[in-house]
Amino acid sequence: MTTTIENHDGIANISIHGRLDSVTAPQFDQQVASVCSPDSHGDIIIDCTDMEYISSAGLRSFITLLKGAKAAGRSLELHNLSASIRSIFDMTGFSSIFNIR
Amino acid sequence: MLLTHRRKPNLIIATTTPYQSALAVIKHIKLPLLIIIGCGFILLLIGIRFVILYATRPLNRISEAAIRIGEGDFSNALPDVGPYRDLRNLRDAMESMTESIQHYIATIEQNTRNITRIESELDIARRIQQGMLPPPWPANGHTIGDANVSINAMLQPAREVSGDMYDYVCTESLLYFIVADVSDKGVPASLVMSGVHSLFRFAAEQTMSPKEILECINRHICASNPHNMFVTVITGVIDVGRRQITVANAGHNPPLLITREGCRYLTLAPGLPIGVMDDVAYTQTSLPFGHGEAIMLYTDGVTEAEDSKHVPYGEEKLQSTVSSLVTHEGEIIPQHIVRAVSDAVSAYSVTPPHDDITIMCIGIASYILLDYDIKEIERLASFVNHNASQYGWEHELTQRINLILEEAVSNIINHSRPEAAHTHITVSIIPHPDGISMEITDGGIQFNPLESAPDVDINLPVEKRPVGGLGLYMIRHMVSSATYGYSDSKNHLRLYLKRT
Repeated sequence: MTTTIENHDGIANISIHGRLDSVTAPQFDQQVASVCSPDSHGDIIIDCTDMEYISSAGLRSFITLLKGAKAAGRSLELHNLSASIRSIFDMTGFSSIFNIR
Repeated sequence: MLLTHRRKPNLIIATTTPYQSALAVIKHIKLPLLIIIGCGFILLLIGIRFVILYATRPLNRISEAAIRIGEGDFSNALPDVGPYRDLRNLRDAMESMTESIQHYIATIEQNTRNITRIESELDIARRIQQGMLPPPWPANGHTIGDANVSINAMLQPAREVSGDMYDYVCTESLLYFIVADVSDKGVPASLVMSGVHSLFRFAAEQTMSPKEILECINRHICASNPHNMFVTVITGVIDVGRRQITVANAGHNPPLLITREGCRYLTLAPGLPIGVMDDVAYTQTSLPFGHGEAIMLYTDGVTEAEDSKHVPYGEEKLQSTVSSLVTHEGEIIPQHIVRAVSDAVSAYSVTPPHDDITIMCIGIASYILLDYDIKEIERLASFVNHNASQYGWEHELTQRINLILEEAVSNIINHSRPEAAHTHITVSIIPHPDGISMEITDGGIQFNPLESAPDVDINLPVEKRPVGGLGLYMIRHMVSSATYGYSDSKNHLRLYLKRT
């Protein structure tokens, strides 16, 4: 799994490539920590075009990210979820709490 | 008593004497006479005895000498027998007989020494040959790359040394194997065999392909084969990482490929045996070789074992023997296959085997062994992907299996870590027509994941959603059945995912 973070016009764009699982989720948490730091602001977009797989560990990373964003009054959007990953969001009720586009 | 004398014809003189007085003289001399006669008789007997003893003395000496010779004492010369011609002849005959016996004894002693030497040399040769066989594979299998590979083999020589051979050489992710049979048996065959064996080891270490291995062995054997011995060989390589097997055949019996669905003979391009012609080009065949599959190789000592009516065991019986061991659910265990085939063949043949018998079986376990380390999730994912390509699962199904197993295994790693370091988590996947069954076994602390976590309320707003508990929720949500048991100090979690 690799993560790239780009900032455009105050919007943090996080792209995930590969698997977000029990092994890679802690790495992801570290990499995105700067995006959620108290002194950063602006909306967050997570681009899931190249995300192949997500497990509960990955979902936990997302929910941690979302909780942080909500507390800071920032919005968080998930973009381009594949059908199989979308089905996992549906199953866990995450579809209703995340802004998915 | 009346006594008459007839000296003169016309005169008869008759005298009468009383009977008592007439016999009185005799009466007086009877006893001394008897004593004299008795003594004379005894003296006569003694004389005769003495004469006999004297006359047979040479014969006794010969007889004593014969007894000594009979007892193995050849040190004394035969006795002198004096002037008797017959005895001299007997003595000469005995002398010649003694010489012959001494000669034969020397020959027998020499032969016995030779036989003992040959026997001990054959025994050493047998031990050297057995030492050339690869060391036994670990009983619980050995991890090559990310798969658990098991091998079991047996070689039963018809004589002291064998013309059969098997071997395996393992590199990082490649497992080379060979089974070979020389056209003869005993010492000549074993000599050729050791050449083939060394060439195979050399070729495998050079990571040649099976086709190249056969060509290499053939070239070298042909270059020095004055007795035109030939060898049938089957060799191959299992690329464990790619789950692929490549096999090449030089006139050997076809191997059996064993899968969950049963077993079948591999139809390989027939090649000439090794040692027949030096410029033979061999062909090799590659095919998928995945989890829960095995290959069995053997020599013709198996299929040509005969019953009392000289009917050979044959390929058909061999196939049905192996098929009977295969079940859809069960693990294919090479050790069981080799033992069952060996037992079936010895039960079938009434006589001791007239040919060397070799059986070797190699299998990739349908399960994977994982350490209690979260990094093992990567190996788990590759295990699932290998199964997916082996069974042709669609992406969606593969994702779900991946997810279920990751959640279950990461849960065990995080919550059920054992105190003893040597235990593993075993994960197996068994495909069924309408779904996939998964079994996760671990030797950690007793932990029932189906009861442990509270159900997650997926309708809670994000602020109230707990971060944990999701994994087990997803497992319960996806699988159509889940059972947990604790036995043999192990947690057993069985999950069934129905195909949609």
